[in-house]
Amino acid sequence: MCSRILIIDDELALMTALRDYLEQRGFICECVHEVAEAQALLANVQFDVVLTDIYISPLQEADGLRVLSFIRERALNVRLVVMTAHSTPELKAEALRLGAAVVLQKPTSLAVLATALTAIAVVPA
Amino acid sequence: MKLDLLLNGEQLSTVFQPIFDISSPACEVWGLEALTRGPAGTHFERASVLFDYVRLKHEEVAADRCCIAAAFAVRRRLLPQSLPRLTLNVHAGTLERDRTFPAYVERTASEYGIDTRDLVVEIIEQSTYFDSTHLIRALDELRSLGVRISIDDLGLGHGNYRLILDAHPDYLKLDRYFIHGCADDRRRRALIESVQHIGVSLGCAVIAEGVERMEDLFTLRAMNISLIQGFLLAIPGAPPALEVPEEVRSLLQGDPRSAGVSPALASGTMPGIKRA
Repeated sequence: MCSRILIIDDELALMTALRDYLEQRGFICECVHEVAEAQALLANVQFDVVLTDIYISPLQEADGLRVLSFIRERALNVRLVVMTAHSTPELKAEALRLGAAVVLQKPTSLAVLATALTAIAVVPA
Repeated sequence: MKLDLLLNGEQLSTVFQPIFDISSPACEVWGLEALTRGPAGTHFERASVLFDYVRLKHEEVAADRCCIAAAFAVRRRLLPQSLPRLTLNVHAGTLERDRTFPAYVERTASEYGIDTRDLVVEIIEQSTYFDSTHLIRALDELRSLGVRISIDDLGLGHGNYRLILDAHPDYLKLDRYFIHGCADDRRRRALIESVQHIGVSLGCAVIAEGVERMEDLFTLRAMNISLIQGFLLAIPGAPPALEVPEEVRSLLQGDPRSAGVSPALASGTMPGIKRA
């Protein structure tokens, strides 16, 4: 039974929409817009799912992958869903190699996201 | 939340947790540890998240300075002047890198009317330090102000014996990980005893934190560890309780068996405990 989701994105409006949608369906969501904040949370709080963009900072580096690496290095028991508007085959392959269960293309419909969560056996509490 | 906003003094709050000296029947307050919390209702309200974030951003120096100023302000506003010691958590990296840290402590303490001789710096070593020379110099300068030195979380993470050699501490603080359950665990007692032995050899007092069970408290007392911090005695607060709960004090003055402690353990004759 899974319920706690960490959402990492620099688009506040998108993050808020995702949180509202998921919380209406019974998930518990926490939102951050910075890699270091996500890492500090992941080091101290157990999440069931991390939902992350690949380009989080305004510097346009693929820093979402650093979150995936952080989780992988610590062998955290968490499922990873990646969303990106700038997917390339290389980035997608790297995200999958680092443990992403699914890579979604932005803009992602909320229904597609819900389907992805169901596919990786994430259900509300 | 951006780090500079987070480290704005008004965003941080300070609570204090007493350390009691249980060697006397009164169990008087020996000192108060200042503990910083981030803004209420945010992720950073949890200290571990706040300081992991600070370390990930490599902003230990700025954070330590902010936390100290916040602690001094709350200490002056909420706590009696007569309290003996205030202990402050400081990263080893701050002592290494912040060349004006002792002067900052002196100046800030003066601004808040706090005597630096009442201060104890608890060194946190969450990541290793590289330059012993600067760390030692900073500690010498702090000592010249009358500040005492403690090593926090000894035995955890990077909290290691190198720091004992470099820092010449007055106190060694054992983390809850080693303390909780020590009454029932011979291996924990062996580790506590080894630290106590080092403390006696080097002239450092041992502080036990994370004491939550009466049987652990009796065990520590049997090992001649009398500086005790933990939820059993007082939770952090602003202001905190400054007296040990009556029922705990009564038990300390009575028979340890009433707290479920075996006579052998209470008398210090069980493996892992040697009376000094």
